[in-house]
Amino acid sequence: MTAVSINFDRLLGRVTGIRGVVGAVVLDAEDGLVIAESILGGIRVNAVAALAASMYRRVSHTTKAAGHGPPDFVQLQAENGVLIALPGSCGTILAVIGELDLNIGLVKIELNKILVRQ
Amino acid sequence: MTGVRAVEQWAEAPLANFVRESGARLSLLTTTSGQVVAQYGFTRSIDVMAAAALGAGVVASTSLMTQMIGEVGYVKINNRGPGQGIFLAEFDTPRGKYVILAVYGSGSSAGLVQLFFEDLVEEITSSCPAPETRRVILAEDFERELNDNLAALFGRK
Amino acid sequence: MNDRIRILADELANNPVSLCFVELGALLRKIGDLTGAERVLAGGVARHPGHVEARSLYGEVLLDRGKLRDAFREWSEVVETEPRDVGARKGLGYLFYKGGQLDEALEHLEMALSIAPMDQQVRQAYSRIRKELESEETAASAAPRGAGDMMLADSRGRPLTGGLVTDGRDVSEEVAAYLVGVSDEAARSARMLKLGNWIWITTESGNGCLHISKPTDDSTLVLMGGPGVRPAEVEMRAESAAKTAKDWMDDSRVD
Repeated sequence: MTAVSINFDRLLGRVTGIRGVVGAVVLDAEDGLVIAESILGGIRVNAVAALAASMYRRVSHTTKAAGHGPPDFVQLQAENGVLIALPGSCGTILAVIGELDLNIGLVKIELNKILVRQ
Repeated sequence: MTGVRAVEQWAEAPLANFVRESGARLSLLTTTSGQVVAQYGFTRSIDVMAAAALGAGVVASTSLMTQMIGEVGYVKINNRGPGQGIFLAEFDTPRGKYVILAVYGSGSSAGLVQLFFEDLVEEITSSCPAPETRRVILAEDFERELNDNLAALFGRK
Repeated sequence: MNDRIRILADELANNPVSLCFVELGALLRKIGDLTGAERVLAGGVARHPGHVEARSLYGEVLLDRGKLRDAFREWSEVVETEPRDVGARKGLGYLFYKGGQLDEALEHLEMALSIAPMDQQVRQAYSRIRKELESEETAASAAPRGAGDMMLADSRGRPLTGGLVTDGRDVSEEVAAYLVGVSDEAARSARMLKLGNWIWITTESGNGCLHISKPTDDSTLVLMGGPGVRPAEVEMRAESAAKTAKDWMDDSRVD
């Protein structure tokens, strides 16, 4: 196990420890491929990575067109849950899948803490 | 209109779904010997023939190399250039092995292409008919079949 | 009719100040000789500038010839001399309607109706424009409009109503063009990740936030918050704006 993967494992462990988080994936923003993941069964990990990257890219086009620059936080709210995407360092994205009642405010605080410490 | 041209009709819908979902600009489904089954996006027959031959060749040589180093499994190659990427993979079906080649641009990604490649394999596996019994191909039959197939792939049939 | 035209033409040739030019112009127009009608009426009107009926007819011929400006000038002068000329009022009403100035069009048609209440053409035109004006007013009050911070776009990437302005620049069209892709990807991601239908997307950047939702299947609503605006506030506004946008879309479809 490399130092990088140990860091990702720690990060993912902390993220999935947040109440209401179903899983998290660190992915390559450009390729949409999985770098590290911690996902409960029933969800296709490569689907989370590919779709979160595509979602983030398309949203970025929109926010840039609106003069806002690339987003620091993207939340897709759906009937049965949420998908969150945050840009990380070195061209990565952290994608988080959460339950419907996920406390977004708490998630943001925790993610900020985690990302600052990384 | 899906834009997909298929020699084998069972391949049309799965390839059309793959192209639509993955955002591939060009796609080619061939046998491992380079015989074209269906194509999307190619406008010249010479490009289809060249891509089919090269794709099958790359898959065959990569497969041999992986065997030499003791690895087993299907060949799956992704090459990303500054503007476009190429995805090339072989997969098994009840009808035998096939090769998919996809060229994608900035609107897609290796992740999306690979994700929907998995769905393509599932769809083809469930939609392709049982294998035909092998028959001897005569030279004149070969040429006629080749011309028929090219006509089908470019909508002249 | 041709015999009558010949007789009137001869009469006008023998007596250029004859008032028969009005009938001649009308007959030429009737047989489709618009160039001839315009020439005859132009000459007659020049000699008889106070002949209101001739000028009103001349306006109609100019309109037939596609000379909208000239027709407008002619009819405007007619109503100055004779405010109760129904033909000129009808003509002006039509021209204002064509130019999208529904209030002005309605004004002229109201006047025409007060003079000729049984004129079916005027009645129909009046009721049509009245209806259009009412639906425009409804749309204006119901549509989600903000000071450049709210926009409703269609499913083909075009702004429908409202608009987005950033640093004094209208970014509506650019944003609308990208919204289609966002909406499609949101639907696909939610479906494939077994999250059900997507409801909204919120984004936060250094310069503000965006809230994207789908009030109807064929529209996308986007609200924009500046740097100081909290995303939760935008989200609350978006909820009520989505309801209004849905009503607006439904009303637009009925019309």
